[in-house]
Amino acid sequence: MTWTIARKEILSNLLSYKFFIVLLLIVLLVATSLFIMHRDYKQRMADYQVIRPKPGDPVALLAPNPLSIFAKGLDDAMTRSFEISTIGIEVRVGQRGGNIIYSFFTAPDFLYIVRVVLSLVALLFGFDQVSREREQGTLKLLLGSSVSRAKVLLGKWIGNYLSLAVPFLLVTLLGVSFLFLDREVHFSSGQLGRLAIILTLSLLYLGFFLSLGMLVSALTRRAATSVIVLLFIWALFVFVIPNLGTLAARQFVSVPSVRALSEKRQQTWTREVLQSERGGNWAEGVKTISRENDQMEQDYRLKFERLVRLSRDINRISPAASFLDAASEIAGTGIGEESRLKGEITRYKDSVIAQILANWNIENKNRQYPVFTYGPRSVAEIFAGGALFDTLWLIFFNILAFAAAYVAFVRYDVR
Amino acid sequence: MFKVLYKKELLENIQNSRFLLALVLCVVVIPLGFYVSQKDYSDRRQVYDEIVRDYSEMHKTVGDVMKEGGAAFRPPAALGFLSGGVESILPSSVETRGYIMGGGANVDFNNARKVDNSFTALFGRLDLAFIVSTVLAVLVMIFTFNAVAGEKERRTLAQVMANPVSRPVAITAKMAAGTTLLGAAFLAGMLAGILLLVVLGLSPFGRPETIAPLAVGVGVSLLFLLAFYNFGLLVSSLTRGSITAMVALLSFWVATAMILPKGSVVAAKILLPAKSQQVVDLEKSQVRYQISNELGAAIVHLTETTPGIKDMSTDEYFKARRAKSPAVEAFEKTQGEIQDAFKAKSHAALDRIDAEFDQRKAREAALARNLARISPVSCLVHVLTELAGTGFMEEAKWRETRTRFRQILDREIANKQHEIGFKDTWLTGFDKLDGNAAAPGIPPEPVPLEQALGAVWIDIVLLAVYAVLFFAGTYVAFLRYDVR
Repeated sequence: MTWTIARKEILSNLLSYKFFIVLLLIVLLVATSLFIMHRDYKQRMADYQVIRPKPGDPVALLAPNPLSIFAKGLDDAMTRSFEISTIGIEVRVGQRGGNIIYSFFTAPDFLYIVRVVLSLVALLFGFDQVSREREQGTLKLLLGSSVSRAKVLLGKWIGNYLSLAVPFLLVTLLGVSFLFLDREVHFSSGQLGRLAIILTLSLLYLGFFLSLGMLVSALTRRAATSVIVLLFIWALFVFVIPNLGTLAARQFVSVPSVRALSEKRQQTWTREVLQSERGGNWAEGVKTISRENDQMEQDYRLKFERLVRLSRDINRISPAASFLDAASEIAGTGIGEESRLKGEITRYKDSVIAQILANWNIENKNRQYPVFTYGPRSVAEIFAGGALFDTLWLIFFNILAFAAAYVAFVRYDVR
Repeated sequence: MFKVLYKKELLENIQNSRFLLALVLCVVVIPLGFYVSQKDYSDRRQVYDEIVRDYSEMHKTVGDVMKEGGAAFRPPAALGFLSGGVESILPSSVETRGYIMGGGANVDFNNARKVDNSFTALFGRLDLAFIVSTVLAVLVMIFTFNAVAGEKERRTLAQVMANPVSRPVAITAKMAAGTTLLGAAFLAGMLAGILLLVVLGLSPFGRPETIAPLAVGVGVSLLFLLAFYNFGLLVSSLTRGSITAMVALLSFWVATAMILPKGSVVAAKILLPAKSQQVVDLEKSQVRYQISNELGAAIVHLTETTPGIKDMSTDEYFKARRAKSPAVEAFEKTQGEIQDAFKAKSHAALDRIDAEFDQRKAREAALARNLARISPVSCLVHVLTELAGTGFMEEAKWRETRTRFRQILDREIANKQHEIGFKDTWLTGFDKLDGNAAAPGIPPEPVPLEQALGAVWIDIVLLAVYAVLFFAGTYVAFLRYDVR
């Protein structure tokens, strides 16, 4: 019986204008997003080729991540050029577009579309499932037969979920296959696996919003009221809580500003220069500068990681934040990956400085430095680092919303 | 009759909790956005004040600028809460690179801010432009999706129309009541936001130049909400079911807020492509390298062909120089002329590359902006960004500042240094400059409101046109609407 109801929902969706407009919307959005982000990636890749360091240059520079087409995250920050010298690490802008106008509007990457627009679409599929059928009088007829309310609700959920998820998956896979036509964009098998995980997370996220829509529909008597309530919850989950969480965390954990760090670095540098001018050993000075800067950087990172952890924990009240965190980490463009990259760059700086000190008497231009290599965290590491919790949390949200919808539907007065 | 219908619409919207939702959303989201933006501004302002203070203490004279290098700093935008725009990529200062030598000052942008806040980069900004174009635009959809189609479904529209009331009056009353409530909720949110900033001591309104842009920003936001509201009514008057209206409105919002603004940039890039900054930087360094080689070759040629100089050893040359030998003085004069010629050649070549790049970028940006104007969201963002001082005009002003700063440093330091003569390098000829004169600098000047409005008047006019056009469409659609 559940499947019969699901089929009825699918057929009724297929016959509605709503479905065709939503389908068109998904096609348009996914196509536009992939087109724009693909061009952005190629532009950054072209810039990377121009500023790519020669072998032996003490520069840490990553190529843009192909998965940033789907989850831009902090890829711009991670692909800056980190130049190492005795002063320390100097950050150059790195890949940058030729025109300021590219930064004018937010890049609508795949995650943005799923997080903001498709969550709203999922709500549209769920908001009138109970209240509208009651308004039309069809709910009474349906429950007048021998079918249980649990089966009705489950059938409705499956039918509507498939009506949303199947076109979404097909359009996305079609878009991805178009990306394969471009030989300059290369996805490794590991990256394709990561993409599959991101898609799974997207489906979980959309499933939650569909259940939420059905829950509110089962709690209200009119479809118009349920839209109003749902919009409010949507705005809270997608925009308000992620900002509030970060703000609240900053009240508890204070992280020194970049300026304060830079001042401390400057002080260390000046002190060592003065000591060297007074007859001290400059090589020792360089060692001290590097050691003290590392200590400072480590203190900063520890505080920043505490801030990130607390922000994440507060933000997890919203499934939108959990989804964004997990998906961007899986793509390798999240806060955790950026933090790890910074740690690796500090280690690289240490090895470059060790090399400088070991070859102190060789002229600078003749020195050769180790090449910076960076391997992103494995999926297992990312899951262990918090993405597993976020995934389970999303599953929990799904179950909770569906269970609450079931309870509300059982108590629903169908008259 | 208008008054009766207006009152009915007001009461209906209040009773079905839409107004309450709008009010709560505005009173929560707008102050939250203001607080987040202003807290960020306050932190950056503190850093800016410290930097400027340190710089002023260390750069009191021309001599200090020669030794330490010069800079002009851009203060963070006090009205960034209206729209963060492109502030994160705007230069935080223009600074000299290397010592200011006779060849002229090398001045470039510095962006110390970079990507300082990972959370903002990940979750996006919650400024007024975003709140109005995203959160409030969706709220408008909720207000309008069943304004006409919903009344038809509930059969209340037929009852209203059975009374002696004209359709224009009915639809105008709907529009007036809906926009009144929405406007009231928005203004309440703005007031709550401003009060919160004042109470927390984060208010930028102590500066008189911030009041007028804020007032214009509020007016333009209301105009945008009116245009969007009228579009919602139009869609509701064109559809027979409220769900269809909702989905159509959602599509319109997605197209205007996400696809058109970014898509227009991509379209402009395809139609009028400009090189990337990296490529231009590379071209410029090649030109510098080539001209520097040519200059080196010219000096070598001069040395090897000047009678009396070509056979001198280095020691003999410096001895003759100290003895003020006429041959050496004539040689150095010619050498200075050659250097001047190459300096002019280098500046001209680099300026040509910059000018060509700027021109191409400007054409590309103008096309992108014009295409984006199809979307009311782009018009709103353009206006709020220029009012906040975080947009194109600010960027253009800083490009101009870079040129002016270089000219000032050339005039005050580099050219005077050369007047002393090539023999007096910065190391030896320091005290011959007016080293105790006040350090040259450029105080920050915000883009005046008139100038900002001059750049975005077209966007404001377009928003008004959209509002009128959408209402005219609604009027016609409602006249033809089958209320049964």
